[in-house]
Amino acid sequence: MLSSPEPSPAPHPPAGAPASPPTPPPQPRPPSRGADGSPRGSPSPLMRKDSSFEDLEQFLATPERWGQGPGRGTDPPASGVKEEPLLEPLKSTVKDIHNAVDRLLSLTLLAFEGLNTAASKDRCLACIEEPFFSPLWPLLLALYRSVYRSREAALSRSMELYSNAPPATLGIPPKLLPRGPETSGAGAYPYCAAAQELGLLVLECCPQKKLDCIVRALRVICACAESYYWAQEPAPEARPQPGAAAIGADDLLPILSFVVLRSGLPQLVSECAALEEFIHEGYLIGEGGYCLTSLQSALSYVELLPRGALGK
Amino acid sequence: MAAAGGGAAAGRAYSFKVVLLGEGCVGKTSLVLRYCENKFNDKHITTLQASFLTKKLNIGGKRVNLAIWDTAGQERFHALGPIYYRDSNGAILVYDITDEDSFQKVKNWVKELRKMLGNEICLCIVGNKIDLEKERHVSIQEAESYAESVGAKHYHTSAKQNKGIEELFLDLCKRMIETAQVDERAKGNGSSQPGAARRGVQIIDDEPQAQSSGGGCCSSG
Repeated sequence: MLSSPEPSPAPHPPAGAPASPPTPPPQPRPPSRGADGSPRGSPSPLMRKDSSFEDLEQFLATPERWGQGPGRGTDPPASGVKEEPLLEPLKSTVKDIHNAVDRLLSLTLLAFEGLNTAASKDRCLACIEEPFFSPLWPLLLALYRSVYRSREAALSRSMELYSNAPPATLGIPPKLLPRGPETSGAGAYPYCAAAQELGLLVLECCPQKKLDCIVRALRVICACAESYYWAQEPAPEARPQPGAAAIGADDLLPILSFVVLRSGLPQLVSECAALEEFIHEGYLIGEGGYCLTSLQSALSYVELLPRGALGK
Repeated sequence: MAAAGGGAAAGRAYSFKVVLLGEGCVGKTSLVLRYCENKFNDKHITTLQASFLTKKLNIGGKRVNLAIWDTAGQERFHALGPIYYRDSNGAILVYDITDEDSFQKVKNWVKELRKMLGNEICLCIVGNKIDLEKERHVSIQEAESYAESVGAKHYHTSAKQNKGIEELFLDLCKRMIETAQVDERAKGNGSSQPGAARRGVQIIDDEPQAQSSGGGCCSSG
């Protein structure tokens, strides 16, 4: 609302989209230019260089630069091909985005001096974030995905190999699993509510909202664990301690790894990498940061699960 | 920025990240739950239960926000350590006094932390389960002298009997504040640029910064 950086939410492909060259990208108006419209003659030096997003579009629009290497569709070799051709463009795009957000924030504060407090700044950033990232995220994610494609391939391979692995394979203790007939239908599996929550992440286009999905997924895990635990306790009045069912990281990480496997979303690798970059660093020390870190750990762990241990 | 120096004590809160390391059965979880449950009320427990906890403290007029990050102790997750402990201000390394092996693990983590984070991080080595003194397998002297040799402090705790835990965290916070102050001075009142490199300590200004251009007198609404 405040600075009206007005890139109209252009129609964009669903966030889960392209592993292959995207269709001609939508044309988000370069948001830094949108700030132009902010009141009282914003200083012109701020407007120098705003061609960066056109660069991004250009990279995404030239398929020759994409398919480099072993060609799409086949698994890239596990090692080799160290130099990722799009890494440099990614870095400079990231930098441009940070600069643009900083500029928007500065302009907002210039226009409304009263907002220059820590709390208001956070709120400004939150307001800027949604209209700014919504049109941009699908493009940005496509770039990330091409840079991280070998990691995604590894993750996806693990997801295939372990698609039916029981939770115990990942080290989840029986006390944190539902008692009932575990192999009841194909539909429900333990912690499936958390996997669903995680699945919503790819539908959002704004970093903070994506992070909220991750936080909710982890909370769901904790809640499920607690309910599975208490369901096994014989008598509720014999509760040892109120915190007895509270799980720590020793339990959280195996469960989260299981949830990642069942989510079937290899693009989480790229989503997380982008989030780590664009979530405001103040949040990274808190609950959101902890959840993001845990998800990234689980992703790495799943990616590196032994091959062939379970056969094909 | 000079003005901020004066008002520092009043208007700022230190934000510290502390990682919790220790093998599976050493009692990490009980330790933090004790700490965060005990005082005032148990609203400090977030919905992430014992994995991530926060606590607000006031130490000699300085406000501190503590974020306690639990890590998985199993060997299979060992390689993931660095992404948890980067940017930490403090680390609590817990071993079980009845389990020699868990003390060895602590030594490994100390090496790793020092290698990755240098001397900036405040290390606490914690011998837990002192209620089981009779079954002690790690000698007090050995543990304490080891801690000293690596620039860490050693504490004895019992999560079961709630001993030594309050002291542990209080002491750690004081040390982190000192480190942060030394750091600040070294940077010469470092005016923190937004988007400057991610460093551990974050000092949050609660008050409007003086740097906003002009009209300082009645700017706040």
